[in-house]
Amino acid sequence: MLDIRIRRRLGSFTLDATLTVSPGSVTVVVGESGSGKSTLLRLVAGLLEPESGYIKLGRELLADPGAGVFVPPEARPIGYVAQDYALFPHLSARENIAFGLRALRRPRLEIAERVGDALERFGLADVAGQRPHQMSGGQQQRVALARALVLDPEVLLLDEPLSALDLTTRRAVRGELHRTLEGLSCATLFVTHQPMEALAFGQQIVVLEAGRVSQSGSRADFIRQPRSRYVAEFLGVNLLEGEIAMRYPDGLVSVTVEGGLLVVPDPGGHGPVRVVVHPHDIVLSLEAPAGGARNVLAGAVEEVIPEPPHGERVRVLLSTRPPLAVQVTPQAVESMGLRPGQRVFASFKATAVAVQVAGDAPKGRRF
Amino acid sequence: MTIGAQAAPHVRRPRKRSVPLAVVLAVSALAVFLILPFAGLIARVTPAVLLARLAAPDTLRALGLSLVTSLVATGTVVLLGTPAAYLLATRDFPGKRWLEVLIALPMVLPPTVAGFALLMAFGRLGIAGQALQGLGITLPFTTAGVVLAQVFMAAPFFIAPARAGFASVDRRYLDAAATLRGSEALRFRRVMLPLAMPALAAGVSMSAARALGEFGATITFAGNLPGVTQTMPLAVYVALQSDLDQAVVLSVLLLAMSLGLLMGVRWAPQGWMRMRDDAGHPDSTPAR
Repeated sequence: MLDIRIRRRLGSFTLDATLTVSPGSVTVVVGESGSGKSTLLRLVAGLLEPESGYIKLGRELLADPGAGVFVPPEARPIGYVAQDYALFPHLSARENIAFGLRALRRPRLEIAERVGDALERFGLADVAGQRPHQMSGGQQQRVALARALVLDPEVLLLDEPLSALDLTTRRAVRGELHRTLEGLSCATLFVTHQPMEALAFGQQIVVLEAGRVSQSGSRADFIRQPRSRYVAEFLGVNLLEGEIAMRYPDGLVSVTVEGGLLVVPDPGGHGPVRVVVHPHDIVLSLEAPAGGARNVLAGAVEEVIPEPPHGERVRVLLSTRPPLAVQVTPQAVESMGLRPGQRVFASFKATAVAVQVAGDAPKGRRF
Repeated sequence: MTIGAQAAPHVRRPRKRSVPLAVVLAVSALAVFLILPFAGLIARVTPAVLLARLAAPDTLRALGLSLVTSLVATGTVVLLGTPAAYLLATRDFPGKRWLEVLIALPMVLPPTVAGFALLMAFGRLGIAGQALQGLGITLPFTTAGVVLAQVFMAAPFFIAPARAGFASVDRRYLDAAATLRGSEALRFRRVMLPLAMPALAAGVSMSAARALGEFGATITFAGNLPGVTQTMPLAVYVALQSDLDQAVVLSVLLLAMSLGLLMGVRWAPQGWMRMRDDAGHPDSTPAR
C-alpha cells in the first residue's frame, strides 16, 4: 500500500494531496495541466522533497520531513516512466532496459536473462539493438515500461504515458498499455489530463485541481457523483448547482438552478444542492412532450457536435435555462433536422437525476 | 512549350539572401589579414629545408619536450578539471561565483604575470615553494615546472566547455537514471559523461592547444633551458634571433599541430556521434 500525505510549495503553487494506492491496482490522478500531477509523481519518485507530510510504502517510510527521513530516488523500489520516456539516447533498447539491473550489480547472467525476457514480453526483440531515435513512439513507450518493470518495482509511476504519441498510435498503444497494467502486482499511479484515460485505466480516480484533491474514489463513484464542474465537464454530464425552493409531498423538491426550476428527488437536508443529469437521459422533441416527464425546458439548439467525429453519438448543446447538454443518435438529428437556432423541448423525469446536498452522498437514481 | 515552363517566370523562387557589400569588404579584409602571416610562413620554407630541419636533434628535442609536457598537462587538466566542471554544472554553493572567476582568471591574465605569480608561489622563496623544498621537490626551471605553467594556463580552456557540456545534459535523463537505482557516481559515468562527451572532447582539444602554445608563463616560471624547459614556442623565439630557417620550421610544425587540434574541435563532435551510432549491435541499422 502506497500511502501519500504531502505538501510541497513550488513558487506560488502549493500541492497538498492525500491519497493511497493498493498493490495490484491502478489509481489515476487526473487534472488539468498545472494542477500538480507531475509534481505529485516527482515527490513519490523522490525527485522532489516534500515540505511536510509523509510518503509510506507498506511500513517503510520513504519521506517524512518531520522525522528527518528522505530516501533518495535510487533507493526506492519505484519505477518511474516520464512523460516523454527519457530513454537514454546513447544506449540501445537492450542497454536501456539493462540499466537498472546493472546499477543494482546483478550477476551478468541474470541481467541477460531478465532483459531477454523483458524484450520478449514487450515485443521488443526486433529492436533490441536500436537506439531510441530509431524506434517508433509505441516502441519507445514499451522500452520505457520494460526498463522500469524489469526491476520488479513495488510502485509504478506513469506520467501521461500516452501524450507523447500521435493520435493513430495512441489508440493501439492504449489497449496494449491496458493489458500490461492489468497483469501487474505493483501499485500503479497513473497521471493524465485526459478524462477518457482516467475512465479507461483507473480503478480508483483522484481528481486534482489547483494542487488539491477535489474528488477521490472508485471509478463508479466518479461517474455517479461528480463533485465539481471540472469533473462534470470531464464526464460530459450536466452538473447544476442550486437551492431547494420548495418540497412536494411525493418526495420531490423543486430546485432553482441558473435561472430555471427543476423538479428532482428530495435529497433531504438543507443548503445548496448539486443536480446531475446525464445527457442520454434527456429526451429532445420539436413539440411540447405529452408524457409524464416533470421537467420540460424549452430553448434553442446552440451546437450539434458528433462524438467522435462521424461517430455513433451526437451531443447537442441547448440554450435552455439552465443550459443542458443532450446526447442523441445521428438518426434523431436527421429526422428532427436539428441545427443551431432551432427551437426544441428537452424533457427528463424527476427520477432520472442524481441530487446531493453539497458535501453529502447522493440521493435518487444511481448511474 | 509546357504550361509549367510558361508559368515558371511568374513563380517567386526563394532567393539566397544577398550579403551587404560592407560586410563582404570587412570579411575579405579580415580573411586576408589572417591568411597573410601563415602564407608568409609557409612560403619561406622549402620541402628540403623542412625535412632536413625536422630530423635535426634540436628540433626533435623541442618537439619531444612539447609533446610530453602538453600531454601530461592536458591529462592533469582533465583529471583536476572534470570534478570542478561537474560541481559547477550541478550544484549551487556559497562562493560559487568566486570559484568561477578564479578558474577563468588565467584566460585573461597576461601569461608573464601568471608565470611571475607561479614563481612567487612555487619558487624557492615562495609560500608553497619552501614547503616543497623541504620535501626535496623543486619546480622552477624544471620540466615539471613547464607542466605546472601549462596546467595553470590551459585549465580554463577545458573547464569552461566541460561545464557547459555537463550543464546541457537533460535533467530528465539523470532523473530517469536515479529512479533506475543509479547512484550519483553511476549517473555521472553512464549518463552524464557519454552525453557530454562532444563538449569534453572540444575542451580537451582547446586546452591541449593552449598547453602546446604556452610561452609567457613557461619562460617566466620555468626558464629557457634546451632539453629541459625549452618547449617549441620558446625554441621559436630563440631561433628567431640566430637561425631563421629553424624558427620557420618550428613555426610551421606548431601551425600544423594547432590546426589539427582546432579541426579536432570542429569535427570531433560529429565524428563522435557518428561513431556512437555505428557502434553497437549489427542489427542496429534502422528498419526501412
